[in-house]
Amino acid sequence: MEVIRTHILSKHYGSTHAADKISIHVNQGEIYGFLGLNGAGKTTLIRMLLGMIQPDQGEIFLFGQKLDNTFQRWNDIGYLVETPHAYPNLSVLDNLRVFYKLRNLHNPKLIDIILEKLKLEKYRHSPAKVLSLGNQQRLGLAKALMHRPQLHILDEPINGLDPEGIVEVRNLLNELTQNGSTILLSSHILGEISKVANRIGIVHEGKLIRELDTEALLSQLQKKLIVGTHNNTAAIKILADAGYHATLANNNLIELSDQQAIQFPERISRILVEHDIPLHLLSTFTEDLEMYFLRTIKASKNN
Amino acid sequence: MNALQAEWLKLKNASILWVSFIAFGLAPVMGAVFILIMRDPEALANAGALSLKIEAMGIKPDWNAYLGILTQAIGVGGVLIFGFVASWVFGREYTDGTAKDLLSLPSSRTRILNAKFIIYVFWSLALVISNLLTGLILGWLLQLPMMETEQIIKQLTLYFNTTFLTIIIGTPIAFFALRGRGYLAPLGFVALTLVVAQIIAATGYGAYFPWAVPGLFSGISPEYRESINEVSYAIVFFTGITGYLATIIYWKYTDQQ
Repeated sequence: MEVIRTHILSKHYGSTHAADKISIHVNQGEIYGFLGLNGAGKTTLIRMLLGMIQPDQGEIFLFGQKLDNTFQRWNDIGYLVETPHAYPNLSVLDNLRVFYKLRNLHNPKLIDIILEKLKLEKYRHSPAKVLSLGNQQRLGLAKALMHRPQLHILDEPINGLDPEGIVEVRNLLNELTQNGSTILLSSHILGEISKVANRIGIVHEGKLIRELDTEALLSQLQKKLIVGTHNNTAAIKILADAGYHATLANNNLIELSDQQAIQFPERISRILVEHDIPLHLLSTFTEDLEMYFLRTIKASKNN
Repeated sequence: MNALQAEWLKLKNASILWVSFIAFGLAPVMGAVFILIMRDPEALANAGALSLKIEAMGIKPDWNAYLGILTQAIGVGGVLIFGFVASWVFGREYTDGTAKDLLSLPSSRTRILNAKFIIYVFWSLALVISNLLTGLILGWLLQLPMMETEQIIKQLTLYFNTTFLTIIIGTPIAFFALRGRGYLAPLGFVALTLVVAQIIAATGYGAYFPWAVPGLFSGISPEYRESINEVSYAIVFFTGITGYLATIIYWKYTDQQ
């Protein structure tokens, strides 16, 4: 079942395309990661999904229902948009009580459960203004999760959390999807998003420039064989004669991107040693997600 | 009801609540000081500019004069203090950064705004009732001469009618708080209306400027009070309704960045 579906969703501010014909779908139980630089359009899309911004063009369907003024299923959605804020003079408990009331909930245990789950129990009566950044993030998440929604729309949910908190949130997100929840999240921490998301959408300048599942993403990461010698010019010529495409990088190391070279680096070593060129370095390199992300954006600009 | 309870939760721990009562409570205290000075010829002689002011206002040391001072404090001071209340109730969500949390909930935006308007009205009413009670206690301590029942009813009617007129003209402040995303724009608007009201009232057209009407109605200047007519009331109600509708429409239909 499709929980989120957008159809050629567009939003323009003057000549700026905050969202340009974005069509995505997210199925039940999926974690969909939204990647993009600051100002790429992630938050605009999230705000449109939450009815805070009206699209200039296109439609949004949540749980199969068109998102318009008649949409009523807000208690099936939990959200966290940009930096979480709370009423500073209110205690953690009263902050949650405000949203308990506004969500018309009828099970007071929900507050205790979420306080315990997000380890906010000991701050129950502390004013929100004294909380650390990480605990403010936890309070934001508590507001988003307290009513046990089916769909979670989370903008940068791990911002400000310490490593332990990041692992906790990761486990929490996995637990939510195991219970059938659907999650759309945005993050600039690409390594983290790849650990939790099933599918990833890369957005740049308002456009969805690539959408792929996590396995496909990992397979698309560029790999290289790095070779270091004391006579790179001769080494490149020898490798070229052997049918390899070798180039000299800025760091004075030779790079080979042939699949044969990456899979069998010992052959490269043997060829060079046979020609009396000893190696001081031989290693395989896999680009990280940040490099992949930037490469994808650069390619989209060139197109 | 749930939205109203949520608003009350937000308000009850706010120090601004008690600050507003203390600030507005200065009016009956100042009125009592006026009465004390008037009753003491020596003190009146030493009061300098204050004695001139008291003489100009034609104040006599009785209940009628004292309740008149309290009423005038609402007609003029109320525009400021109720404006401050409205600015805080509606602007705090942007200052606290919580506005976005209120936009996609089962409680509709209209319901949340209505709860805020109810809080604004009841907070303002609580302020004037508090001042009235303080005034009654101070008046009793000053042993002011008793008034006739008819006169008491007349003064209290004027007191609460001035309150309602002042509350009504506060609704546009809610719109400016949302549009200006915080306290600054609505407080600027309140300051502007106070200044412009003074100028327009001085030119003799105050009866047609909504923010001048409560002050004139309260009897701050008896000769101008007669200029208040049906058109003045219509303008006040039109301003109130326009402010309310503009607030609702703005929050319901405008993009919230």
